[in-house]
Amino acid sequence: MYSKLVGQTDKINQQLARYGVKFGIYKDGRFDERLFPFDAVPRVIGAEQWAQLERGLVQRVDALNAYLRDLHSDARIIRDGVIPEHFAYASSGYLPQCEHIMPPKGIYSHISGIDLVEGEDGEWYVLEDNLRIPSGASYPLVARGLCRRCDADTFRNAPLVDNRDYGARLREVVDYVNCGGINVVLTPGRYNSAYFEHAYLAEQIGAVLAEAGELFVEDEVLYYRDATRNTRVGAVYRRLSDEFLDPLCFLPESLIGVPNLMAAYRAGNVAILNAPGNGAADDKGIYYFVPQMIRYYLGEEPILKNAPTYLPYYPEDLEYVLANAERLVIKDVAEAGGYGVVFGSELAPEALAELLDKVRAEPRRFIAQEVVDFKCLDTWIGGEMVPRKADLRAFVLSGRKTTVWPSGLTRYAREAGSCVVNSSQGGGFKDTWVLSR
Amino acid sequence: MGSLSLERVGRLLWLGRYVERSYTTLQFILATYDAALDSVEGNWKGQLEELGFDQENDDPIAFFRECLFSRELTASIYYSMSAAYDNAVVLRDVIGSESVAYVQMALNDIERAEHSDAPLLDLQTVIDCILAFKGSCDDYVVNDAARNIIKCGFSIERMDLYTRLSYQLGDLRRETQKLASRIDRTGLPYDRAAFKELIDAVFSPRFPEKTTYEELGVMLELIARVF
Amino acid sequence: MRILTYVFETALRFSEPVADHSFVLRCLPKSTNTQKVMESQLFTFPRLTLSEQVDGFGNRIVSGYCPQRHKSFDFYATGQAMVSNELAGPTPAHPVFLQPSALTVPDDALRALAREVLGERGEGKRGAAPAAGVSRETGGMGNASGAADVAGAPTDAGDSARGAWEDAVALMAAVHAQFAYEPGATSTATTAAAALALGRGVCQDYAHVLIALCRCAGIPARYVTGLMVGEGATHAWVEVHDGVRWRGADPTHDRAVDDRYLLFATGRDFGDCPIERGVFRGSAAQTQAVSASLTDNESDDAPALGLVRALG
Repeated sequence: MYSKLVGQTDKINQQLARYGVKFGIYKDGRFDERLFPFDAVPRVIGAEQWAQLERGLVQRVDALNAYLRDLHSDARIIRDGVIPEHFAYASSGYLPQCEHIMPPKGIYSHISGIDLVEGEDGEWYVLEDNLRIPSGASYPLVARGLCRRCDADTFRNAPLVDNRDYGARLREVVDYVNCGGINVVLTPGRYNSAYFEHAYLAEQIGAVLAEAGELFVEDEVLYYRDATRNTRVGAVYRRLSDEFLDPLCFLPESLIGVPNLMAAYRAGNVAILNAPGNGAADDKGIYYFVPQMIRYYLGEEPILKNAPTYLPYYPEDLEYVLANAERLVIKDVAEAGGYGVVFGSELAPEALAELLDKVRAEPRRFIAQEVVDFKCLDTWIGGEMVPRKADLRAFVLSGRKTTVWPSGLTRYAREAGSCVVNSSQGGGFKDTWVLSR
Repeated sequence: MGSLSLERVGRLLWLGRYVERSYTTLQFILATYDAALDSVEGNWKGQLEELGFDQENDDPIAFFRECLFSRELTASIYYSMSAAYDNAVVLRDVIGSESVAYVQMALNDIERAEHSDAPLLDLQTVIDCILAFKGSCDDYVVNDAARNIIKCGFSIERMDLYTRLSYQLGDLRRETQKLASRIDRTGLPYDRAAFKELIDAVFSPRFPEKTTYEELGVMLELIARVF
Repeated sequence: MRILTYVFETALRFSEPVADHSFVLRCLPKSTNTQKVMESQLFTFPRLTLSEQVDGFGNRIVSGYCPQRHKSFDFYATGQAMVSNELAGPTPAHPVFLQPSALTVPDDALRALAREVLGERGEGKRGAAPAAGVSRETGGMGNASGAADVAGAPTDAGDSARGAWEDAVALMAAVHAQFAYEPGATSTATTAAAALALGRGVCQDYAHVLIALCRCAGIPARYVTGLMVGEGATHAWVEVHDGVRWRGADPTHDRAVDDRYLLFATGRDFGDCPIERGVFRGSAAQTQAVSASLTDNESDDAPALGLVRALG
C-alpha cells in the first residue's frame, strides 16, 4: 500500500528539514537542534481496532479528569479508600497550591498524550499517561502533508482518516475554555527541545506565541504586552512545566514564568491548558489505580489494559515482586524522566538483592511491572526493511467532549531489539494511519 | 488577530534587515569576486573592508570564503543569515511556516555551499530562497503591520548598505519612498526628525552626483537614527 | 480568650528604581478554629489596586502589580482578632502535612533524633500499620493509612490526641535543647537538615526542624507565620495535628501556643507562607525593615514598636 512512499523517504526527510521539523537537545552543555528522522512506513490501525482504542482512550481520560477534579476538591476517592492517600499526596506532581481551584469548564487535562504499545499478543497496553505538556503531535501532522504529495494513489484509494485537522480540534478546545481575550501559546523559549512544536501549533491554532516577558497580570487579569495597547488573554496553552509557571506561587527563582498568573487563574479570568497540578494524576504510583478510577467515577469496566503492575505496598504484591524480581521492571515512584527505572534482568544478583531490601524497607516508594513484549513494525533503515520496536502516543483532546485525534505519534527504536524509542536516543518517528473501514 | 509585542516588533524589523543584509552583501561579494579575477595586484578586497571584512588575508580565495562562511565575522553571509533565522524561528506564528521555511532553506544551502567545490555556483539557490522569502512575505504574511515592518527592515538595511558602499546610490530615492509610504502603517516607533532630514538629503538636487563623502557620512548617521 | 490588635508594617527599599513589580502579600490574618478576625485592613504605598484571594492552604493572599518605576514599596496592615485556644473546635488535617516538603526533607540525623526521643513511634509507627490487612483484590477498600485516623476518625480520638500531642511536645523540647537562637546563621532557604547540623538558627529553623521530626513520627505538622505579643517582628511556629485539631507549638520558646499568638498564614514550610514575595524588572539590591506590634486590648502592655529588621 505504501511501497511508493518508502522510495521517497529521503525526499520527504529533506522537506521536513525545509520546514525545520526539529527537536533540540543539550549535549556537552551546548544547545543543538536535530532533525527527527522520519520513516515513511506508517503504523496502520484498522477501523475496528481504532474504534476500540478510541473508546478506551476517551474512557481513560474522562476518568483521569474526574480524578483531578475530585483530588483538588473533596478527594472522595481517597476517603472511600480506593486510592491510599500516600500515593495521592506523595506524588511530586501533586501541588497543594492548586487545591480548591476549579479550572474553567472543570477540565484539567485538555491535551492528554497516552503512550501505548501493542503487545505480541495483539493486545494494546497503556504504559504511561502524560497529562502535563505532552508533545509530538506536530511531527505526524507535517509528515502527512508531505506524504500526500508524493503518493497520490495511496491517498486517493486507501480508506485513510485525514489527520490534518489537529490544529482545528485543538483550537476548538482552547476556544471552549477561553475566559475572554486572545489565545496565547506560552513557550519557555527558543532553546526548549520542543520549540518547533510550540511555534508550529501557535500558527496552526491562530494563537500568539509568547514568552513570559510579553505577559503580565494586573488586577487578576492576564495581558499580552502589545506594542500599541495591552490585550487581554483568555486562554494560555502553556508549554512550560508547573514549577516554572508563576514565580509568586511556585518556584520563586523561575525566570520563565508569569508573576501572578495563578491569581488570574484562581479568579477564573484565564484558562490554563493543561491545568497546573495535573502531575498528580500521571505519576507512576497513580498509574496503577487508573483502572480503579474508571470503575469508581464512571461505573464502567476499563477497556484498555495497563501493563500488569504490582504495588509492593500491598503485602501479596510485595511477595510476588520479591519472588519474580528478575523478570520485572522496578520503578522508583519518586524519580522522574526515566531515572529510577531498573530491569531486574539487567542487575547482578547482589545489586538485585540490595534493591529488594530497599523495596522491603520502603514498599510505598516502588512499583513493579511485567516487561511487556511489544510488537515490531517494519521500518526502512539503510535501504532494507527491518523490524523495530515502536510505541504509540495517542492524543486525546477534552473540550466540549473528549475526542481522540485519529492519528498519533509512532516512535521507533533505532537499534534492533531495543525498546528505547526516545527521540533523544536517536529513534525516529512514523505517521500513524487510521483506516476508516 | 494582530497582537505584536514590542519584542516581536523589533524581531520583525531585524528579520527584514538581516535578510536584506545577506542578500545585498552576497550580491556585492559576487561582484567584487568577479572584479578580483581581473585585478593582478592592488585592491581586490574592494569596499568589502567597509563592511567589516578587514581580516588579514592575502589569498583572495580564502578571503572570499571568510566573507561568505565565517562563523566569527559578524559581516559574513553565514552570520547574517543565521541571525535572520534566529529572528524568523520565533516568528513562525506571525509570518507562517512557509515563509520561515525559505529562511531555513537559505541557511541550509549556505551550509551546504560551504562544503561544495563550487560554492559560488551553489549560492545561487540562497539568492533564490531569499527572493522567494520576499515573495512569500508579500503573499502570506496576513498581519499588515508585521508585513510592513519586515519591509521597512529591507529598506532601511538596503539604504544603509548602499550609502556605506556608495553603491547604486541612484536607487536610494526609490528605497526612501518605499520606506516613507510604509513607516506610519507599522506602529513602529521611529525618529521622525532624522527621517525628515534623510528625505531632504536624498531628494536634494545635488544627490547623488554631487554628494560628498562627508555628506554620505551624515546620511549614514541619519539612517542609523531612524529606528 | 483575648482580643488582640495588630499593626504590621514593612518598608522595602530598592537601590535602583524598579518597574513591573508583581507581588503577593500574606499579612491578613485568617479566621481559624483558634482565632476569629474581627477587622483587617491593608494599605500599600504606592497606592495600587489590590486583589484578595484565598490560596490552596486557605490563607488570605493579596496580589498586586506596580508597572511604574519606584524605589520603595511599603505596606501596612492593621486589625483586630479574637483569639481563644481553649474554645478551639475539631479541624481536619490535610494529608499533605504528613509528606516531607522542600525545606523539611528528613535526613539520617533528623530520623535518628526522632527515634531517640520517641523510640519506635519516631519512625512513624503509630497504631495502624499501613499495609496490614489491605489486599489488592479489594482495590484497597480497607484503607488503613495512619493519617486517615488522625484526620478525624472518632474511635479513641482522645487517646490518639494525647499521644500525638505529647510526642510533639517531647520533640519540641528536644529541638529547643539542641538548638541555639542565633540570627544570621541561616537564611530563608536553609533546610531543616542543614539547620539541625548547624545547631543554630532563628524561629524559622526551629519550626522546620520540629516539622521534619513530627512528620518522621507520622504526626501531621505545618508551618505558621504570624505575630506574638511582645515581639516587634514576625514570628514563626508550628501547628501539629493531635488527631482532633491543629494545636500550636512554639519551639523557639519551647511552649504551647496560647492566646497571645496571631496567625497570618500556614503551609508545608516557609516557602508556602512568606509574608511578602515579589518579582520586578531592574537590577536593584533590596532591603527591608519590618515593624510589628500585637497588643492585648485588656492589658496595659506597651506595644513593642520601633523599626527593627525582621528576625522571622
